[in-house]
Amino acid sequence: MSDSQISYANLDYIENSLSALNSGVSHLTDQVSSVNLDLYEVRTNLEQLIQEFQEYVKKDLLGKNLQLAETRIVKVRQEIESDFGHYGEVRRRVTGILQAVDVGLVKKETVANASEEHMLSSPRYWLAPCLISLSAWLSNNKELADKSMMEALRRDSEKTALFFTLVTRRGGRYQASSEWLNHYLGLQNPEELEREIVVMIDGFTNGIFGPDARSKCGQQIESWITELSQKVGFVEEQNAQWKVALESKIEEQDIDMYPYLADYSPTWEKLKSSLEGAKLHENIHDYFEDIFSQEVSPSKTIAFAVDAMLDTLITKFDEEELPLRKEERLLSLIIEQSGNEGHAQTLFNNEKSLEERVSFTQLLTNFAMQPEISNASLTTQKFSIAWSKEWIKNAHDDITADNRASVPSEIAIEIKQWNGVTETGENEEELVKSLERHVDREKKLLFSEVKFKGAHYIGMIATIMFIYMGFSTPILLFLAIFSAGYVYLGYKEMQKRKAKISQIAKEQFENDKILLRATLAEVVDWRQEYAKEDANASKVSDLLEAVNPEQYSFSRYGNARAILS
Amino acid sequence: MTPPTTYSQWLDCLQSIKSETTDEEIMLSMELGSIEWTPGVAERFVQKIYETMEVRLKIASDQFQTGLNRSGNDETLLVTAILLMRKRLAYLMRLASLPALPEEVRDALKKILMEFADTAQKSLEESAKTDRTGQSKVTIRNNPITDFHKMERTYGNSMPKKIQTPLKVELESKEMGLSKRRRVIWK
Repeated sequence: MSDSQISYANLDYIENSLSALNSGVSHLTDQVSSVNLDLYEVRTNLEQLIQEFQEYVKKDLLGKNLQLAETRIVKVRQEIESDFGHYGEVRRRVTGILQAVDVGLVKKETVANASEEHMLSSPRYWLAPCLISLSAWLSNNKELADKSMMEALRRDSEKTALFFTLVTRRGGRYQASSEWLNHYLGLQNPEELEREIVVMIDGFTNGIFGPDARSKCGQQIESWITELSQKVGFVEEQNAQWKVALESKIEEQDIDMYPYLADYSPTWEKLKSSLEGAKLHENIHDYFEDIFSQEVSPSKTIAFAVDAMLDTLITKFDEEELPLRKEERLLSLIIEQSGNEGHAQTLFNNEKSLEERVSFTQLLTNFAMQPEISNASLTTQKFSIAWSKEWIKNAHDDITADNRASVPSEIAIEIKQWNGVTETGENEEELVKSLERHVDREKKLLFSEVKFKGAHYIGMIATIMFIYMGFSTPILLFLAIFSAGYVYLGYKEMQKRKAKISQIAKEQFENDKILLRATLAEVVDWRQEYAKEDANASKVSDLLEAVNPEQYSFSRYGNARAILS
Repeated sequence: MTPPTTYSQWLDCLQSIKSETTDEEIMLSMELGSIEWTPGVAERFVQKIYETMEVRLKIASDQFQTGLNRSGNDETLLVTAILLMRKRLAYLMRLASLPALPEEVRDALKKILMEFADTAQKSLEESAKTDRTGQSKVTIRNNPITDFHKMERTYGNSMPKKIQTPLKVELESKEMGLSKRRRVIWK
């Protein structure tokens, strides 16, 4: 009686305990399994999230920079207008007076009075005494003309000399024009030229000057280049200068073309910059070809041509405005670069078009590559490229060699924890096998974590003990069945987990295989595209080879015939 | 040649087809080739097939034009040019029908070829109207370019050809009851 009571009470208690233990262990196992199996997914998601967040921050910053630059550029332009707007009136008078005298519609007194007023309203401005001198000259007042001319020379001798070179040429005074040009050239140092020299070069290349002046200009340019080229390190300096100028034509590669390489190759940055470098050949070729294919449309008369150059001289090169002009340029570059301040600053530093004084060869580079900022005409641009063609070719050859050396021979691929290397994308089968081995290894690693827990081992020992003791106490055989059942459940759970791991590993392999194949396809296409773009390098040399500097200096408005010796 | 199975191998084959080197050998291996039609590869592969087709059609078109220019009023030369064009289109038809391609892609490529042939045929018939004798028109109608798909298997064959040796030829001739006697033409 007492035996049956004890066994009834014990069985109930053990059954409940086993059930609770089993459910607790199962729950725990499920959790561990879930944590282990989702580990990769969590890591991948986290990496993706970090990347997206960084992209968002970057975009936000660029957007703000862009907005700020757009607002600031308006303010800078307003500042230029408010600070130097009154110069505009003086500037307009210059061509106004010359054109009025051409048609003879304005009285000399009116011209004289109007000019003197501006002298009062524009202190320190070099053009105001030039205007008085011009009106005095037109009114045959030599004394006033000389006096005001001296004042103008005192304020800015170089601009004044260039101004009168053009004005006298406009009036057909060849001797005076030649003397003024001599005076201007005498003031120049080829290593430190002012930006307005573009007007003189424009005059030379567009055939504005008379035969004597044109010949002097040609000789002067040659002697400057000879003088500069005798300097130690000139060739290296030219190469470096042109390399910077040519590299400014690099366009950022569209990452959409190779999305898998961008995501799964640690070598992507190198590939990207190599391809951008190779595409530069086509960009440079197109840029030069476009310049040389454009036709130069000359002005109707010498008066129109000189007036246009006078406009440029008096509006674009005043030092007082330079700080604001520089700021305006930097802001416009930030806008062009969609808010990328760093890139805009680098481009601005490389441009050197707004430097106060630069060497003649740097000027040629500026005329060739940034004609809008350096105010060079199309003819001057052609002339500059023609004169610099050897330097351009050398710099281009250097860029090509550097770019070819930077092409990675091996392209690394990284898909989650797997790494592989390819050269041309041909070893697809080998890499797929390597990926399969990697997934297998990971699977085995996870399998090794799937094993009986301590409770299961206790269950096994208990089963054996209960069976052994069950021979003497048969009731214990029931306990042996329960503990064996518990061990069996554990075993089934292990099988289930292993099957789940196998399923996940299979899916992972299939997904990663797709990514690998897509990346390899992009490697093949990348190599093809690079080879195609790189082959364009010779096009640039061929184009420049055909250019001759003598072709690009004209004598359009002169009557004298140019004699070729 | 080993049938292509990877994107890289396929591109090598397509490059050879573009440059018209070893056409038949390449086509045979391509017909036995396969490719995993997965994202990232499929789009690129289709693009490359289209590009190859475009290049070959351009070459075919240029050479056909040259053939026509040379033919003048010679009917034999005109027919030769048309037959050559059909041969080229038949070859491209085999490219469009590659078993490695999904059905939609095959259909799209075949459609391009058919449209190309239709346009060429119409253009030929249009230009033949200037011939007052009507002879050219009849020749063109009797030998339409659009019939190129009928000669698909006459230009090359996906099955390897039997190796023909002089001994084999002799034996086959005997089997067919042909003796090696000289033929005499009676006048």
